[in-house]
Amino acid sequence: MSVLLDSIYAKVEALRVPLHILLELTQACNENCIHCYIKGAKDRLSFSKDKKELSLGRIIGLLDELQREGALNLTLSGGEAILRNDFFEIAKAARQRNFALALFSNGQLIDKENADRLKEIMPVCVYFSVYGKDASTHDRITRLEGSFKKLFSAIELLRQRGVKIGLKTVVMKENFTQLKEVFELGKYFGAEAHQFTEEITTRIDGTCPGPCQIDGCSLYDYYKGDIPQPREYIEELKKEEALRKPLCAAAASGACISAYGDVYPCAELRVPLGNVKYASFADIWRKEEGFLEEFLETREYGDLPECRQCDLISFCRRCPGRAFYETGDWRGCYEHARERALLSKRINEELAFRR
Amino acid sequence: MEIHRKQDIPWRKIEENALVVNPKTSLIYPLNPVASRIWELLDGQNNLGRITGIILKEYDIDKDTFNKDMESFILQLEEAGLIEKK
Repeated sequence: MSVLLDSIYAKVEALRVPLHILLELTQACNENCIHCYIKGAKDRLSFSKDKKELSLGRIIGLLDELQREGALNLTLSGGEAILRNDFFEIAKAARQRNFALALFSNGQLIDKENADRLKEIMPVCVYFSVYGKDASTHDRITRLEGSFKKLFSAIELLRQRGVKIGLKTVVMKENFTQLKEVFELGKYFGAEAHQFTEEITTRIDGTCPGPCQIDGCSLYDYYKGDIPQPREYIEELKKEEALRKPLCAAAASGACISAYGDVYPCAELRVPLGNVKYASFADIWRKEEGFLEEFLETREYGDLPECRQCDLISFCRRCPGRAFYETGDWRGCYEHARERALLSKRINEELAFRR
Repeated sequence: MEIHRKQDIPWRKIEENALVVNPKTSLIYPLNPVASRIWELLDGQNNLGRITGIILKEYDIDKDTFNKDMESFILQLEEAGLIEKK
C-alpha cells in the first residue's frame, strides 16, 4: 500500500479529529477487582445532574455525531459493557456507522449465544483482562470465584468463531511473580496483542489506587525484566530535543465519554469538558476555552515549567491525569512519574555499561 | 469488471485524505488525496475505467504513471481484503 499512502496524523491532531473514542457504557460490573478505578466510585467533577447512564437513544445520536467529527476507533468499555441490556444494539449501530469497533470485557457474559452475536458484529478486537496464570490468582484479584474459568471459555468461544482477541494485564503485587506464565498464556490464547502495565489507574473519585501497586524493588525488576519484551538501551535526548518531546495526545485526537455523559480528555484525566446530555459532542469538543484551551496549548515537555528544569525528560512518561490526582495540577511534576523516570534512567545506565 | 469497497470496512474522510482500517490486521492505512478519491469512488457505482477518467479529470497527473499506481493500489487493496470484485 505504498504509492498512494500519506502521513496525515499531524493533520488529525491539528484539526483535532477525535479519532480514538473510549465510550464507557456503564460503571456496573459483575466483577469486583481489587484495583478497579471505576466501580462504585463517583466522578468528582461530573456535570451530570441526574447521575443516570446515557440512554440508548442518546448513544445512537452520539454515534452519529462522532462519525461526523471523524471518530474512527471506538472502544466500548465499562464497568462491564455487556451488562447493558442494549449492548448489542449499541455495538451493531456502531458497526453500521463504520467505526473500527473494539470491546473491553471481562468475558463473564460471553456464552455461545453472545459469542455468536459478537461474531455477527465482528469487532476489530475484544480485549480481556487476565490477571493471573491460574484461577487462584485471577479470581482473587477479580474477587469473583469462577471468573478465570469463564474468561477461558469466552476466549475459546470467540477464537472458534474467528473473533480476534487481545489481552491486558495489570502488573501488581498479587501477580508479580507470574508474569512469564501470564505472558505464555497470552501466546497460548493466540492473542493479537498482550499489553502489560504497572500503572494502576487512579480511582475516578480521586482516591489512591490501593495497596496492590508494586513497590520500588519490584518495579526495578519489572523494568529490567523481559516481559513483555526485553528492555533496550535508549539514547538519552539532548536537552533541546527533550524539551520538544511531545506530551500525550489526549483531547487532541482522542477522548473518553463516561457512562453519565461527561466528555474527558481521556479515561485518566477526568476533568470534564462538558456533558453530552446537555450539549452536542461537537459543541463540547470545539469549545476551546478555559482548561481545554490551556491543555491544548501544552503539547511538549518544554511547555511545562517544572519539566524545563528537569534532567529526566528522556525517561519520563508523565500522565497529566495522574499529576492532577497526585498534586491537583495536571501540569505539575509528581512523585510517581519521577520515581519511574529515575528507575528508567538507572537501568539505562546499567545497560550502557554492559554495551 | 466491477470492483467495490467492502461494506463493513471502517474508514473516515479527513478533509481530502482518508483513513482506512484493515479489520484483519487492525492496521490503519492513511491514504493520500488521490487514493482517497479512488476509495470513495469504489462505491459500486463506478467501474475502473470510469474511476480513471474522473481522477484524470480532477487531478493534474500523468496518465501512464497514474495507471501504474492505480493498478498497484487496487492490487494492494485486494490483497488486504478491502475490496470485492464482481
